[in-house]
Amino acid sequence: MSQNAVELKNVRYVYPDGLIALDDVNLEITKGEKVAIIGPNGAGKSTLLMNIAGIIKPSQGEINIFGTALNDKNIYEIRRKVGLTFQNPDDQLFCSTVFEDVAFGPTNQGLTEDEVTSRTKEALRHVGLEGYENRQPHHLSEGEKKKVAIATVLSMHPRVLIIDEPTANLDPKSREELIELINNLSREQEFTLIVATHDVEAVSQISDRIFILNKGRVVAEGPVREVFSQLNLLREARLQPPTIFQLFNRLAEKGFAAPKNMPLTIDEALDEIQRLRLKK
Amino acid sequence: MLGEFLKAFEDIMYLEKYTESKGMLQKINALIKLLSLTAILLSAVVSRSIYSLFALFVIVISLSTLSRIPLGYLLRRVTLFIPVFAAAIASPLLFITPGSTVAHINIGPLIIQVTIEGIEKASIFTFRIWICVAALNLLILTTKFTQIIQSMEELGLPRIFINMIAITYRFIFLFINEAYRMILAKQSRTTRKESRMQHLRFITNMFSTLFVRAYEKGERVYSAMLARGFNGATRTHNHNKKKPTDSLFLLAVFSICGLILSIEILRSAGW
Repeated sequence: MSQNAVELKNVRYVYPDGLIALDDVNLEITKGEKVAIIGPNGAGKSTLLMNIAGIIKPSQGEINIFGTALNDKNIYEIRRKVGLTFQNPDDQLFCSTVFEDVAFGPTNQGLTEDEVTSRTKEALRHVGLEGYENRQPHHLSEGEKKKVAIATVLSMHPRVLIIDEPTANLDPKSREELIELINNLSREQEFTLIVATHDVEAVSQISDRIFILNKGRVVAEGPVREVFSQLNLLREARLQPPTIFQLFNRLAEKGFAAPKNMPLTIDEALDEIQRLRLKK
Repeated sequence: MLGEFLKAFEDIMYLEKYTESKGMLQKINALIKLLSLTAILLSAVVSRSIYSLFALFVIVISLSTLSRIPLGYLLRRVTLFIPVFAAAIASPLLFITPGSTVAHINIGPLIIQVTIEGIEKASIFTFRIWICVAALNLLILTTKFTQIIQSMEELGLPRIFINMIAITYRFIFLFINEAYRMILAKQSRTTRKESRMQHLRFITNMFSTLFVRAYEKGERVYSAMLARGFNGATRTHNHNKKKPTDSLFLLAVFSICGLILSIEILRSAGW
């Protein structure tokens, strides 16, 4: 059996109005891997995610989830395995209480009431929102809504968790909390994580490998540091590497000794500076 | 002005403060409440005599007091809706009901007469609507919306109908906010007094934009439902348990309403 959780072969997606959103996309994501799909606005990230989750069907090409080709017959089974959290939590939360929203997925799976309740409580505990069961989604803050949106998918026990723009529209503290939450989740649970974002600062914190999607095509893929080193490619895709990474690049240009591993985060940068100081 | 109205409407729709107080109606099972308040509402609709209506009025007010809803608050809430219905529907009754004239209005060659019978009819009509709206308000104020939805399920109302109400309730809030933001955005760029025509044009534009956005949002919400295994059939688990006191309450309300209805029927039969 294939070790790939998700595999796309020559996937093309054309919207009814003729817009080519995805063009010849090939990608392989192995089980348990944490990947990020980055790209500018309108690159086709959300379309790609919806294709993987079986919400829309590719116009051409093949999508395999755990070695099974996605088709009309197994669509519900695939949706059970692949959980998708939408960019705007208001699209995802449509029930009148948090409990109902989180219970929606497991209830649709036909689980018993006790199972649904325990899964809902468990999912809310994972996102740190215990006791929110009877709250109304429209009364929550944006950060809380995002967490509930993730809980609505966690309660289905997915094997692949897809999150579309997890950090969009959040204040710095909520953003930090959400990154931590995603990291904790992927550490505690054995799922494959796919995150679409243009928050390059967050990418290095939540993923091991990235894909750059531009104008519906995958233009680069590889380990985070490697991809961020391809500055021209990033520029073409209207992206920039993380600020710290840029700073060390500029320092290297000015003649400072470039570290072997360019730092991506503040912590890595601190370590590097510490190392330089010790050298002196 | 429009913005403030929308905000006020939002407060009315989403206030769940009183569902938490430990009053009488809050303790009653939601389905029982739905049935009893519907009985009161129906009795008000068919009642022709002021005495029956007054009895129902007393019931509504007592229930409200027993449920710890401030009387002034209920009056204000209900009265906000009244002018819309009553003024539009009841006011012609003032003029078209034949009887002894108490006043007349001259509009050019036209003389419109106001009759005592007209005033009586219009007041009874307004009173009746007041009781209906108050009964409905008691239900909304003392019951969490989810429980109302679950009671509708228990009653066996069509799924699609219940889904529509539930989703409307959830999303009307978002669209009120959306409209409110559009109004603010427009106000921030309005630097001089505009004509009524311009204002009207803005409102029509706003509504057409809202329709398009609602359509698009509908598509996205549907995708989100599909992503979580939705296949057309909705399943829910109900948690509303019934107690003996619930049955007692239902019996009491039904008896009173039954009594009022029998008196009404006897009266109309000429007794």
